[in-house]
Amino acid sequence: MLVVEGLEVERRGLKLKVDRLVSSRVTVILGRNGSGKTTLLRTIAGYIKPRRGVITLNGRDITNLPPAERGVGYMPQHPVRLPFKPRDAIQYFAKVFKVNPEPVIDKMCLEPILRKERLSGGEGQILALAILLLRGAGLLLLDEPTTGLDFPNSVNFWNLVKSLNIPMVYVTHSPVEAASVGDEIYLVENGILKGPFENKLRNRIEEMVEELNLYKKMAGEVEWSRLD
Amino acid sequence: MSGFMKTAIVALAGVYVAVLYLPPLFYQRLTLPPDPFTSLANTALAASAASLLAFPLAVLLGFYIAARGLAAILPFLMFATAIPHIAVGLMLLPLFIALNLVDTWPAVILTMMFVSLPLGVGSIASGLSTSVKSLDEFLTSLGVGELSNVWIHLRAMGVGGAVSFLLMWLRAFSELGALLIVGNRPPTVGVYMFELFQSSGAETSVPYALIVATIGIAFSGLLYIISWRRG
Repeated sequence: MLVVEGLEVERRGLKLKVDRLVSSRVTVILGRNGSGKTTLLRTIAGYIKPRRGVITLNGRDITNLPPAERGVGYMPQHPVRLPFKPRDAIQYFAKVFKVNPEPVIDKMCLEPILRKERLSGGEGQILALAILLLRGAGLLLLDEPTTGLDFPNSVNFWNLVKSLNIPMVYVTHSPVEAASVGDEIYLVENGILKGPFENKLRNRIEEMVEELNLYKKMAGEVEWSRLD
Repeated sequence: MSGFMKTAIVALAGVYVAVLYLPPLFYQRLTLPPDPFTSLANTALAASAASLLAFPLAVLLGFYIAARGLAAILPFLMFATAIPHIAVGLMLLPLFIALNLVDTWPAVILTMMFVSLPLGVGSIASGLSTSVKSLDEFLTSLGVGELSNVWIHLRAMGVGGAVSFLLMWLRAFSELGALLIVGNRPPTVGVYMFELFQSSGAETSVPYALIVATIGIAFSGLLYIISWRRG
């Protein structure tokens, strides 16, 4: 469980204040552009030093630890492009972490992706997520992971994230994404974190997402009346 | 761009080459220098050794500058590109005298390393795309070791790494100023050409310059093809 208490960060004119953030499930940080979401995530990941406050993960104070020793897996805002073929990437990192990649490959149904030579943006993000899982991090930090993905790929990614059942802090500016993914939602506004709010929209949003998936409908997978 | 502009620009490039190439070809008294190839081979060998030795350093420095916000060290490396390289040679001279290296292979190679390193660092730093920060943060949070991290970034540069290496090699190959001070022997292209001109005038040094220029065009063409294939 991640607990952030009394955190204050000041960076490039942006002030961010967090009284308390607790995450043990899929916790979404929702906020507009420039509100400080990424700053908060990078502070938890260890790339920004806070002015004050304490960050603990599973009871261990990680506030002053370097990123590599925090036991978190961080997926940055810009898509990670790994210079390997997909299967080589998984095998390389499995070797680095000295783990068997098969359980992660099975859990994430990665085999079709691993057979490819080149990946689309969405597939690349899924591969990056798989590598974070290989590491066996206690907490995942995902910074707008579906930025640049089309709607069907975003929906696939959301479904995958929900199926993993791993504690994570998931940053987004999209209320639809927040409601679709999050077990609980925090809101960052004017540099202040508010929440948690219970995600009461979950069931409704899943229906709405299905309803909004015009790609699926117009491809004929779902009934959709055509104008003639 | 209109067809006229394209034609005009191609013509301008043609004039640039013609101004350099045609007058020497019409020069009346041209004879090949006595041994045009030894200095070329010396230079190619020394430039290869210097680039191979300096490239890993350039990769490390370029990575830290691009990914870890150490751009402040760049002026301390790049200043050598803004001054006549005779000054670099003069600054290296006391050290090489102390080490008894003046006019030796190590002097030539070390000098080439000094002059090609800044270009390699700059090229690597700019070649690591804007996504370097995200890839670096992804890898460090995974606990990937520093050297593995740098290696993955070099792989991510792909052909850009080869381009940087070739740029360093060309910079080392073309060095004259510093070598005139600390590394006259074994003779390299610039030194040999300079000595030819001083001893025999234009008659033998001009054809040699044409040979060297043609090699330069070939390597620049190679650089272009690699960059073009990279997209």
